[in-house]
Amino acid sequence: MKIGIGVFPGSNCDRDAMYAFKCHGAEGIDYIHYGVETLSEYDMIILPGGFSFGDYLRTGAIAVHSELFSALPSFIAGGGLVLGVCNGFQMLVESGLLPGFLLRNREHRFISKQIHLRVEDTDTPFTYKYSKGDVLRMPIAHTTGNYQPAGTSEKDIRVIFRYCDEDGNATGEANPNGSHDNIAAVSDPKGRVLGMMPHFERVCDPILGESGIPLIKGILEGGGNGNS
Amino acid sequence: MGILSANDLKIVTERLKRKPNSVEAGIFSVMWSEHCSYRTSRPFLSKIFTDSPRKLAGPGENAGALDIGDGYFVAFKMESHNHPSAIEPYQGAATGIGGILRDIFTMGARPVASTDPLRFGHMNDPHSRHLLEEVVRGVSDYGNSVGVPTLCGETQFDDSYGINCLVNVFALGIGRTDEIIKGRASGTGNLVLYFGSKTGRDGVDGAFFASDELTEESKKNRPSVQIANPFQEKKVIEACMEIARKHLVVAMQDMGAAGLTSSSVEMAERGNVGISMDLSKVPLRQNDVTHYEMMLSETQERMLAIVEPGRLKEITAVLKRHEVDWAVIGEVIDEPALKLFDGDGESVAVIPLESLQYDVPPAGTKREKRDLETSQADLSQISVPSVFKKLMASDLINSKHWIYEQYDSRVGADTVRPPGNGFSVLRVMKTKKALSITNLGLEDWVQIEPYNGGFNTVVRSALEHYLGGFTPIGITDCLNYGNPEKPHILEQFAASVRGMSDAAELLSVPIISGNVSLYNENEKGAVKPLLQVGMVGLIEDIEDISYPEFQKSGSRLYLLELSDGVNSPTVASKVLFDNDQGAVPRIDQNALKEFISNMEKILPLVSSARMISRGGLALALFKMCLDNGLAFEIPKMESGDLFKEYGAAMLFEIDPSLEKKFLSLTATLSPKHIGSVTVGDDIIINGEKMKKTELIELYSDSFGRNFL
Repeated sequence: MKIGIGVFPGSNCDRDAMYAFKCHGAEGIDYIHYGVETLSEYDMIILPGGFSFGDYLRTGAIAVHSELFSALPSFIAGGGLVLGVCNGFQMLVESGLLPGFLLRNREHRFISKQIHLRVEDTDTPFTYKYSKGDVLRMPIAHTTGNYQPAGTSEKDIRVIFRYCDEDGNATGEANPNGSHDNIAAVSDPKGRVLGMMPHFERVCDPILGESGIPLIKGILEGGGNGNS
Repeated sequence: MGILSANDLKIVTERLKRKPNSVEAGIFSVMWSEHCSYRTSRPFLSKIFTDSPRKLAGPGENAGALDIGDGYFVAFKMESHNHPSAIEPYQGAATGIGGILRDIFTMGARPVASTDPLRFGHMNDPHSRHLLEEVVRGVSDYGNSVGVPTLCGETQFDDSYGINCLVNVFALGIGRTDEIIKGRASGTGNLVLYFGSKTGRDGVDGAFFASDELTEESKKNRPSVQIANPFQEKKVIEACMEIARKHLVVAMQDMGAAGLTSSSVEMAERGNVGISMDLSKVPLRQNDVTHYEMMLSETQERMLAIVEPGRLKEITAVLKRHEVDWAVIGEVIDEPALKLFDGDGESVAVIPLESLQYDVPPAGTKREKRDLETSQADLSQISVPSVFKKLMASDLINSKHWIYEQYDSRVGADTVRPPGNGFSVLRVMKTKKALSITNLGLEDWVQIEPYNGGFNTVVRSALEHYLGGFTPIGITDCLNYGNPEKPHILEQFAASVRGMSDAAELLSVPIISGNVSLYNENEKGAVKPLLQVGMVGLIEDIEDISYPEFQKSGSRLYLLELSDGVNSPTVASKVLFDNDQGAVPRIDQNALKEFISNMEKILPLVSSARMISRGGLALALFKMCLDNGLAFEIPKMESGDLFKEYGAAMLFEIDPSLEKKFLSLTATLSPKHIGSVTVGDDIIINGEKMKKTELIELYSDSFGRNFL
């Protein structure tokens, strides 16, 4: 599994993602400059969190015009996996590679806290090591994470994680940012492009928390539906 | 406009043996401003305790740096951004973060944590609410964008901060000892390389304005407040990390207060060389920036480095890759002077560095001790549950998650203990070590008894680290006072700094960096003096950390006092009676020394331990059962004793099977048995029951209600 972590000026979770994967034995993993022309040598691209190009305009609005993004559609068509976290999710939505929109949080403020997630779909190469209904504790840290499917038919949205309380109930109170139906992560219809707001890469060792480990191990072992 | 006083102009004229031109006068005026020269505070700061075998850089460098072993060092420093924040809170706070981070990464250390001790007027005042909201937004936008986690901090309220809010910023970085960069220019013919943002007019005279009282007129100084660009800073950080890793510079310094002037002059002074610069080469944001403005601009996110000509190609390749603009604007010269000229060779300014020497008359030298009223409120007749509830709801005590949830506290994946409950903990990647960080300022105490207030601040901070299993290794201070030309203010400053330094020496914790902010004053008077101590602790094995939270029902609770707390000023008397008076507790130095020397034997017997701080024993007990299913029972205690505050007192949770051993080891310190840990939701004090969940709700929800 050859993994590339896209680095844009202003990315700030790129090193965290590198650390998380290396912790669990990833070997073929490196950083990719946003100006890269081709992604053909990689099996998966991670779009990390941060503030690409400062995000002074709209989150991800400039990043999606990079060479890296021009190369993504053919990379995906060729069977490549894409995982966008936080700013990376914002880019995927901005580019149209994932459906829906991310708006500013309900309270219009940055939110940094530990939340709970319920696993909704394990039929992807990212989530097959979880069980449906598992409750995970992960941190979120964003201003623009209020997911709205506006204009997209709900049956076209594959929801991978939902915000919930510690008992797994997706209540209004457990919804930190106003997302439609407590949606925290969605994928494309094939389950090969995943966008998520929570930072799984910050909970991947015994000291910081371990709920992100099955996701990392699942990717590294290369199993799950859709992988040949 | 920064102008020289008549007396300073006379000194400049004598030293130069001619009248300075306007650019030279501007340079003298900012370099001799209180902000840059410490002209008033220097005599007192020169005596503080700074010794440590770990020390790699101390006061006078961009930040203090300490060796933590395994090939790593930590650099940390605290600064104030009070004046800019009082008139333009969003930009003031944001640029405060940017500035303190640059002091860290300019040394080749990656910034891995920042914290923000803040002071405002009470939240029932709309202006204070506005200041707080904007300051928090400024910290949030900047800190989150650059990817540096914002940790512990400390927010308190007092009417004296209504106009002059205090915004202190602390930052810490970790680097490899063989990659440390200092701000010492050397090597005749080496190049002066400018990189980062282009120079504009923002912040011209900022240092000068930060050295004055705030008046109605001050609002006109808004153009003196700098504008933040965290995206630029993030690019500069990554470029500097690569520059350090590849050893590409001889020296480096950020352009902070007094911008190009102070960065060039200070690097030349430290290296006892001169610097000549061609101002026509300075990258400009607009064409009509004058020489005077170029030298005094405080445009943010700019760096100045000294580079060997042979390395220029390599370093500019790094800058290009990170999309950072650069220009070679001068060179190092033998003659210890600052020489400025314009493209065609025309001289703009010539200043021998000797003439800039800071031994200029201070703004004030007169000191006068003022004894304050110390009649403390009587807490003996109060109802414990009702006071408990009032304290939980008070902004002086309640949870500040409304603030810190706007800060990304976990970016970087090193945050082991996020903000919210005492000290913060950060791991040191690739080692087993971890660092603890505390922020503490006791303005009510320093106001009443400056020396003792300063002393207490350091002791209480240090004990918090010890109880967590950490060894405190260094202090950075931020000293916020009123107008030092007033004798009682200068006395407050001098005595409290002496108290801080004496305690630091007693505990062998060096003061390695810091900042002074004077003139925090307006028509209504001076702020309460805030001596803010940022302390950093080190633990060799992250597994050995002990957190101040109850472990087990059935444990016995002991109070161990190392100071008296008779009639101390308390938060309870402030909340109940609006009374901030009292006698500052005296620390029993012999008992303190005895405790510290026996600590290695005592602490392993303890299930958990906590310092008694704001809100007294009552609050310490409550915070120890915030996040677990435990509670406590105190069978019999005077209500005054529950809310009393100490200089140095600790609460210990002891397993009954270890009680005998604990008591024999601490016999001479006479710990008092006060109660026990229970399970469930009932907090019981003197037979009266309170619901913990109800208290937690008040504690958690009260602060945010100010902003509904």
